[in-house]
Amino acid sequence: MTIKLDFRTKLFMTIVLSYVMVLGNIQVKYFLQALIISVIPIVLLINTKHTRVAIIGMATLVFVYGADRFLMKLEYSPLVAILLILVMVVKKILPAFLMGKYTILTSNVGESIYSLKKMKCPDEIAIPLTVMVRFFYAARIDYSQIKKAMRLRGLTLKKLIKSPILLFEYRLVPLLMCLSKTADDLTVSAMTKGLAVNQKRTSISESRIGGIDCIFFVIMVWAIYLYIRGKYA
Amino acid sequence: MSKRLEVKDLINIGLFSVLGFVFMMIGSFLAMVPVLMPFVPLAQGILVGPVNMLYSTKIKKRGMVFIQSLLIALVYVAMGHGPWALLTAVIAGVIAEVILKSGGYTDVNKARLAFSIAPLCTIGNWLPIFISRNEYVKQMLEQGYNQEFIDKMLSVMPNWIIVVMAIGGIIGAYIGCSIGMAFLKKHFKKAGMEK
Repeated sequence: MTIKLDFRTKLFMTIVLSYVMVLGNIQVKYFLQALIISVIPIVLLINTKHTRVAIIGMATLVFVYGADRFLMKLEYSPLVAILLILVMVVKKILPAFLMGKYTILTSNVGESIYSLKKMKCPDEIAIPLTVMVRFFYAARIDYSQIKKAMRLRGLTLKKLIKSPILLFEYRLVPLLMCLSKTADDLTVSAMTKGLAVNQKRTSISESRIGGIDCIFFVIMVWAIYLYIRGKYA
Repeated sequence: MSKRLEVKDLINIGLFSVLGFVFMMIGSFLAMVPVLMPFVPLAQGILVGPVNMLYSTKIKKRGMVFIQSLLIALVYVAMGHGPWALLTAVIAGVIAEVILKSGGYTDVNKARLAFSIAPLCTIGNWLPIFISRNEYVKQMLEQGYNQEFIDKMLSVMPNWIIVVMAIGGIIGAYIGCSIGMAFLKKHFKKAGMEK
């Protein structure tokens, strides 16, 4: 059975996970709970058959927690300190990152605009926000393809590392061209779907809070409770 | 042409908010080495400038820069940086809007000036250090940063440095925008994307 969450639940979970994990001290005080919270997005990803992302996420999680344990035992040196910071940052960001990835992978543009509109979010914020979610994904794919295309022409990182401005130019300019074109295409497709600013619009996607959403809301409330208890008690 | 924002403008705002945010994120990786913390706005400015200059060619209406800085700040807030970035985003956004307006949304030099100010929306992320230093240290310790890192970082962050950081950010963005103008001339005009 696949769990189908409402877009609002996903958004709420992403924000709560990032706040609780980044700002809080759960990882230090409640190790097990932190691990459970970190695993939630991975479970969701497996459930929706995004196995590859889930496996990568799981491997990173295990590696990071292992590396943390390992590095703590080593003697202090600048390199170890930098590695520790790196590990800690990844440990903090990973759950929110995976949750965000889940949100991006499983929700489409129409659904998310409809949900945000239901939350009385003005269109001037709702549409760019949705577009942002979409472009985070598109930018990465386009960038990797540009890198491949540049390798074909012999413009690799190794060759260009001596002239950073050229490197910057050869990567950035195609990316901007490509993404601007995508933005134009998206505009056309939005127009044909009758998207207009601050006007009523029907939607084919249903958006309502069901039982499963409530369960996840409760889990998130539990995470917030842990955050507050870790901070002030 | 109507003065109100249309779907096309909103989609462009979304795209360039993503790009702006991503490049600022890359710039902030500099802070992995604690001593380099004050240079983060400079690096962010240089990286984000070219993107913003292309954005400036798409701006014909009021409010686009403002919404962009607001959205970037919102993403930072959602990622757990605290709400201060919203305040600076509003201030930087309004100033940038006023400058752009004075250039009639077509003047490239005014656009460069405006986008030298606009990236300052992220300066709010550092404000907690200067407002309540002790609170901040306590919070960072609780978050699991070690004492060494905090000491090193704060030793290069006396209170006056926020002014230097802001100025550094402006200079960095100015350099970045100049690079961006060169890119515009070299590539985008030929491709007919600059309308």
